[in-house]
Amino acid sequence: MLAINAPPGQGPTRQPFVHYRCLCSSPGPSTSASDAHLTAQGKGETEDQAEAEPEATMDIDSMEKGKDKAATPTPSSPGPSSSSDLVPLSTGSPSSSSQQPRQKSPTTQAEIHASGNNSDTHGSQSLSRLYFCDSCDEVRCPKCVQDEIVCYYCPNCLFDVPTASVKSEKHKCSRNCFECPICQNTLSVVSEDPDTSLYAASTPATGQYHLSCNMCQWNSQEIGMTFDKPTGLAVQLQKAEDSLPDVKEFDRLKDHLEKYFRVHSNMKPGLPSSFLTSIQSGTLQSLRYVSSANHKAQQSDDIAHYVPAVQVMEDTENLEKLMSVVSLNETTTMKQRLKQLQNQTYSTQRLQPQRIHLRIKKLRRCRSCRHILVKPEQKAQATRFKINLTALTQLPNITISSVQPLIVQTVSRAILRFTNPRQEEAHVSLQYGDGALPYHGVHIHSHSFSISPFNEVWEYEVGTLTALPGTAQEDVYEKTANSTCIALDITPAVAGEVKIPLLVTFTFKAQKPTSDTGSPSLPSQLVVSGASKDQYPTPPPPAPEYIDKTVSFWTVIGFGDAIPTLAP
Amino acid sequence: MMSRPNLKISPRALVCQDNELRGEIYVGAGTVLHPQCKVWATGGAIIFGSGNIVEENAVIINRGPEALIIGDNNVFEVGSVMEGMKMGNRNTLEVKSHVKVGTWLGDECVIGTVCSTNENEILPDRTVIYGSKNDRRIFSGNRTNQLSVHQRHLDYLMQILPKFNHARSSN
Repeated sequence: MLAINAPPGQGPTRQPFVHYRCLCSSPGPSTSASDAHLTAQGKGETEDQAEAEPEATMDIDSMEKGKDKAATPTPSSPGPSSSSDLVPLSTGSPSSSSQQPRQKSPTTQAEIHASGNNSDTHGSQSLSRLYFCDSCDEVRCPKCVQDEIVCYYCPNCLFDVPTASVKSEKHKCSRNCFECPICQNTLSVVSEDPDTSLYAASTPATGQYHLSCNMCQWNSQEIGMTFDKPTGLAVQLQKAEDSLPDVKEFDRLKDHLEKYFRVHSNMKPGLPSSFLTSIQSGTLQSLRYVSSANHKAQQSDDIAHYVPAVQVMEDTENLEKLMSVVSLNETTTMKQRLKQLQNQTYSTQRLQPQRIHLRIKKLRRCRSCRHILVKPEQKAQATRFKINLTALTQLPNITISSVQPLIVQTVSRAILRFTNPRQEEAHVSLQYGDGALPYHGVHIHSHSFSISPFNEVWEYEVGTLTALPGTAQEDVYEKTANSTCIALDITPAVAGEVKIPLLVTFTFKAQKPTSDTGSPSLPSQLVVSGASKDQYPTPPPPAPEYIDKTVSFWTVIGFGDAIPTLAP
Repeated sequence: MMSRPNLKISPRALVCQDNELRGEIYVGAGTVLHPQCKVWATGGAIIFGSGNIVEENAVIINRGPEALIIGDNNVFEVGSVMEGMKMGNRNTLEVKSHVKVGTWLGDECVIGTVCSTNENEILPDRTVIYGSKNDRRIFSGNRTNQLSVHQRHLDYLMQILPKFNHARSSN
């Protein structure tokens, strides 16, 4: 796209993009030097009113053009500490205090302004990866959320495994779900075909059912694994699993050492109590105790030397076989070996089908206020989300509708489209961040505008809808169903990638959380008093009240490369 | 539609209309060619054995001077491309698979979905090509019920296709 922009002989053209910034990526505390450029505008805004004056400096900070290559300075230099002058009073010295506690509520305008006033792509991401906490009214990136497990399920049979039995089943499906040892595809249980057994060269092994892979045509008959019943295969394999030599060895070792722990704890009152208490649980503590006991081995009764029942032989046979391997098909791949951790065999003949590993469903919480941002349904088959506070559904989606080829020192027009995902009308105001380096000239035609709400009915309308003529006239480029386009005039200062930081202030109506006043009691009082219902009609249920909420966030918009002016 | 193809269709085979056939094509008994398939015998003849199934959008091209002999009971699934030189019996070319130029297929091979062979190679019997990286292995044992399923497939097609498609006859 826009290949014309790339200077000849350069690498791949850089694509335009729009990234949003989360507050966690704010730069370090900046020195408070006054910035005449900004104070001149006298932005005088209060904390919650983020409607900036149209002629206030619209510094579009986070127009990050370079996803990977930001020619940006270290965070300390955009110190334009302009922020500290912008927000008078309320925060005192925002620069010093802005860094620390993330839990501070609410972040002030100054801090928000300082956090993204540069065109550094580091720490910004596209809207699809972000969340929006509606109690903090802030953008949250994946690093500012914490995960919790909702449920465990098998990806093959979609069975919700009760949390209690997950550990005992070693996080694997306990029904008939197996994966092919060769290609990790799901195996299906098939019965012996009476017809094909006529063609079979050898008689089939005992048992009628076996596992078969549809992708690589692997058969469990190759390793002699057949079953009598088609259900409960995991149970039939359980016995084989438990009789493995290393599991038995571990049990024996545990038994041997356990009696020494119990004996020592009884007969050693002189030990410091901290050692005694640490014996209570956990193998790790036990081992630590054992090592300290060994120091005193001379004076106390020592632990008898443990003789393992199975001797580990020198692996010469395996070594010789591996040295004589001619083609790599004869040995197992790393992936196949790592699926079978018990013996990690090198020979494909000894690979066994493994039970399928369970998966989890996670819920995500905001780290500061602990509200749930995303919560899936409990059932494994359901793909819906009970709570879905992703940024795409809450914040306006900014896309670049079109941009003229960028040439240094020439004005080019770019059209940005803001799409409102909410059901209510929203207002947006923009500001160009001055901390961008290189500082390109940007003129925004419409600093403040509104976007119509989203209405599902319009999705079926053919053609674009324009705003009703009755609405206030705004100097926007275009206004359709639930999006508004505005025009920007960009004058690149230097050649190369053009990234512009833009501070977006988004005002929308949100439902006020219903306050618990004594209104429910009112109707009962009326009834008891016996007054006629006509005189005191029961009040209608309180209508949902809407309050105005405002969110400010930085974005970084990249428009691709600007080519240098052609020499005259 | 270029020059008329030279078709010799066995009486019990079914070759539907609306497919692109060019050159000399011999179709054995019990073979079914769905509509919308392409069989181009431009370089040399193409000879089908019995019981083959060529599904929609399958492409079989013979550019080489010798005839391309396709054995019995093969399945060319939707979108598969066969440019090889020889084919045995009971092979399966899964959806969108590709057998490249000059390749010989043995018996009972399975070329997996969107997999391809290399050019000019001879695949031994029972080769399976699978996975996104075209891994291959030789499989042992039987593909479960494959013969009976294939026979039922053929019977079903012979019953249903003539109801909705016209059939070609040899010329």
